[in-house]
Amino acid sequence: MKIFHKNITKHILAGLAIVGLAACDFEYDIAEAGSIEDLTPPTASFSASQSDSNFLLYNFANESVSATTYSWDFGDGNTSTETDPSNTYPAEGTYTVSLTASDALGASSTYTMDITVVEPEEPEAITPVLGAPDFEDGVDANCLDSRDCWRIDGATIHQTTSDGQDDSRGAKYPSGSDNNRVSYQAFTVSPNTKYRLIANYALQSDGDSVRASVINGQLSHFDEFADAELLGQASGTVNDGKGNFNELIIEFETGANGDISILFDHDGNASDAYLDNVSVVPVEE
Amino acid sequence: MKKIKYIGLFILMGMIVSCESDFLEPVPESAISSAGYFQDDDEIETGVIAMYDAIQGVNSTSLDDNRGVQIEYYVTEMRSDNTRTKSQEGEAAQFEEYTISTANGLVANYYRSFYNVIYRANLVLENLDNASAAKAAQFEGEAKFVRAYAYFNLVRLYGDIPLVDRLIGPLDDETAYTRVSTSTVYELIVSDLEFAAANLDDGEKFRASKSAAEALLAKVHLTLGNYSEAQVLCENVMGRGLFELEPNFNDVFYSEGNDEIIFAIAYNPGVESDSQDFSAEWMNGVGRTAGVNYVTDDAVAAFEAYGGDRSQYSYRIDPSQTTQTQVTKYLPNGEDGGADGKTFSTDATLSGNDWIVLRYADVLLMHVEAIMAGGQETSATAAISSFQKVRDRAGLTDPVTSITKTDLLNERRVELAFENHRLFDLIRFGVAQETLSAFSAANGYSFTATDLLLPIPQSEINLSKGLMSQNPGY
Repeated sequence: MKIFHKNITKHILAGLAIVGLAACDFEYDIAEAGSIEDLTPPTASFSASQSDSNFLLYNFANESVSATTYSWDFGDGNTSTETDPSNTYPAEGTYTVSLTASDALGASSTYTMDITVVEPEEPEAITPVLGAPDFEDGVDANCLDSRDCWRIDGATIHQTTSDGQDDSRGAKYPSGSDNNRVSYQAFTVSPNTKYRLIANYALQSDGDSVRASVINGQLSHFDEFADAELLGQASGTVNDGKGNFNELIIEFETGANGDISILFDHDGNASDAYLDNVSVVPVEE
Repeated sequence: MKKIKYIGLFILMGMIVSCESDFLEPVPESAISSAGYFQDDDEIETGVIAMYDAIQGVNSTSLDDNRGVQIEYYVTEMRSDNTRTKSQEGEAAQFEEYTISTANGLVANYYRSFYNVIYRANLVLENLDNASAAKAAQFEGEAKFVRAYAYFNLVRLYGDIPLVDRLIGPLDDETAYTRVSTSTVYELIVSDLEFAAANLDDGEKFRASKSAAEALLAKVHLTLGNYSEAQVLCENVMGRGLFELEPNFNDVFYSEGNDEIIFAIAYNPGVESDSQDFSAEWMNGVGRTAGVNYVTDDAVAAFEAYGGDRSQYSYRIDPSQTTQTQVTKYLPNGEDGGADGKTFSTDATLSGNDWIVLRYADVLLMHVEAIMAGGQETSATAAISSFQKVRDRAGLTDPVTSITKTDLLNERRVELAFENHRLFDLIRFGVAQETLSAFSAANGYSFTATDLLLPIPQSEINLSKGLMSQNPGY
């Protein structure tokens, strides 16, 4: 009995040793049962911004959550493992950028975004298109009667004449202070930009004039003109006789508002006065 | 027996009569409670004053008190390249090192303080029915200005945040902890400021005014990229002629309520309930800290390049520790601290220097920014005129012919240094990541792009029962 007992003890010890050896093989295995899943898997996200100094250079802002390592593919062959990398692209074009964010448990998430690399253009100043700037009829679809582009409520429109510049049609302001005709047009230009208004006028008597006003804003009735804010105003007073036109130039600079208007009038001329070929163009610097 | 019946009847009647609510719940005579208060203009005005009091914050060494704008430099200027702690110690150094913990007490305090400002503004708005017709619009304008100011700071610092636009009860977790998108928050800010600008008058500097609302709204529009709106608002303020640059830069900070101030938070010296401690904290071991909001070498270099006359009035070598540089824009009660720079005849921790929120130079530079309209350069006459005024005052009288975005950012940096603008300027100009990455690398800090937002305070997330998520990177 005692021997048997001894043997049993031996066998048990041997068995334990084998089990012990065998168990060592499983030392690094994580048991499936009882393990906790990755409750906070990574979510990849980023934004990209173009550098002011070099339009090919993009800075990436990593907005991933719950991640520790990052793998970037910038879409031009370049890669990075930095958190917030930057990349200089070889040329303009569209590139697919992808970010794979991983955590220490091996879970990962990928976020992809296309970025379009283009050189930012200097915003060009608007060159306004005036309606019937040369007072020709039947040319501008918006005003086949060219005067329709120059009317304002509350004032009488100019007359048209064949005595315009270079014998084309033009605007005519008949003499006399009881005959104060007005030409008005509203249009849109760029804010905070320098412009030049050029108009051509002809006078027949000394002391006569044609006045041009550039208004900051647009009028719905002529009676608003008296209180309107002006960007510029000047009168042409050179009398070279009928058919001999002179340039009246106003340089002005717009403010916050790009919606402006121009108005031509006169004050009781002794003889008929003429106006033709009006233009408003940005001043090149 | 009959008599007893009558007596019983009397007792019963007496009980019926006396059981009205004001008998059982009398209004306390020796103290004021919110129920039944705000009945007339005078009482509502105390609620209006309480809003500014909340911005002012409590002068205290305990972060259990709402410190208000007194600790704003930690969460703004010290996260920029302008300032840092003197000794890189404690919670305060997390800001300069970009290692802010979600449990940072200053981050939580600022959040709580400014939601308290919002609560007090909402309290005024809910009680406007009892205001006289003459005063109601003014009170509403002030409350909406203050609410917009608080939200504008919070949304820029924390990103998506809960939108509380009315009084809420303690059980309304949905409103208190649901983060809404920044665009929704900005909608409320813009509509509040538009109301304030339309309904307030000018004249006050320590309470909301029409010009203050317009100037703040201009900054909101610049932040949102609405440049022409911003330009018109700046020109409204400029055209009114109520404000002008102080000829001497130093007077901006030491002549209280001067012509340049559009909106400031008032403090009074010597009184614990009405003073501030940031002036002391910025000195060497005068306040609770060893010294915070000390000037970085990077900022000193910017001053040497662009500062002009402003440098001498903005910072100095710390007389007690000559390797360090300290801010001199808000010296405690205007005292320079003597030979060692830390000996004051008054109690520096109870300083009375007002905190400037909006001043005219800021508006002039915002005007330039609006005209530049997100571009790289401008040579518009109006922009150059505004820019030149600020530079002329600094003694930089060379005529400017064109202004680049970098010129404008540098000018704002040295003009408005240590006034809690720099971080927001970098973000608004779209150069925060580039600038702060380089600054961080040069100083061994650990900036990443997600550091441009503060963490939502962990305490709020804990209270939210799962409604609130944390900002990325924390």
